[in-house]
Amino acid sequence: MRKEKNTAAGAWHELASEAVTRSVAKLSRISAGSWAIKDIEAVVSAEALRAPGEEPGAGVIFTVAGPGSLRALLTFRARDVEAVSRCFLGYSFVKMSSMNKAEELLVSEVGNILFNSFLSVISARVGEVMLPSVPHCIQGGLDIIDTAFRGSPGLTPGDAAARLRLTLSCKDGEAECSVLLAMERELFSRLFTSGGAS
Amino acid sequence: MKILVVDDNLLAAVILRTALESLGHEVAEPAQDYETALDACRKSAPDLVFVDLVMPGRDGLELLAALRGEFPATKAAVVTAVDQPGVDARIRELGGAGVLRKPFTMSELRTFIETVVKA
Repeated sequence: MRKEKNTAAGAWHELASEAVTRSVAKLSRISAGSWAIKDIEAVVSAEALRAPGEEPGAGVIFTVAGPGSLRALLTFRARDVEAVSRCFLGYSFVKMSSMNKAEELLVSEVGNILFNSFLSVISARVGEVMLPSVPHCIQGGLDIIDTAFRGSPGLTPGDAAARLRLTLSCKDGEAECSVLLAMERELFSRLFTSGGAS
Repeated sequence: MKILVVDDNLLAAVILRTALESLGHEVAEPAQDYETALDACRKSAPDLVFVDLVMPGRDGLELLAALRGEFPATKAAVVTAVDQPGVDARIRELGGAGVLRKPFTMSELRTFIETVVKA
């Protein structure tokens, strides 16, 4: 896995490593194939919010309400969903031009497991219970999904943000998952000054 | 044992239902939210209800409280990917019979049900 030189990116990278190691272990226990982390790359702040390409995919949005609000967007490229499905279920769904409902539910469920691993680490570091919203799955170009997320109520330009690009190998293939996390500065400060990654 | 699964994610509900049926349990048609879960309990009187924690509208914690009030003899367990000690404590306070963490294996599900039944 890549070592981040930038301090902030390094802190996010450490948090992501802890979270993803948990979720990959959990997923491997129940999946038809074995999951592994191939790479984690952390990109912070303004650069993190730069939209990815126009490639089709699906995104799962989570929000955590409360004093230190947190929002997350997990995106999967459409071409990777087949690999995710094959690894998770042992087979893939019939390939269609857009994802069907079953694939959407699968992406939501895998996103749910990945996001809750992040939330578990964050909650433990700040010492607070953080209940996520129902996952909201959207399909489209990754740039459009990103724009929709950034336009959602509650996100402000002052929020701390990071994009974590995860490359997971599963069974015979690989899947990329982008995790875009945005949180209030106050939560960000507590997260990285409470004996955690700073 | 007669079991009800409550989960707004149909895929997750179907996976759990199939697993429970393969273990020999009688599983009612899954409910997808608070209201339909209570209706299903009134109709089928399950012995055990698996409640998803995060659902649209009223969440699993509210459903646990309602089940405890209206169906005190029915055991209710939470099935969730949320993994936080503070949430587990709240579930216990509300009378939850246990927390089955997603994702789970078949043998974990079997052991979990045995533990819940004995408690």
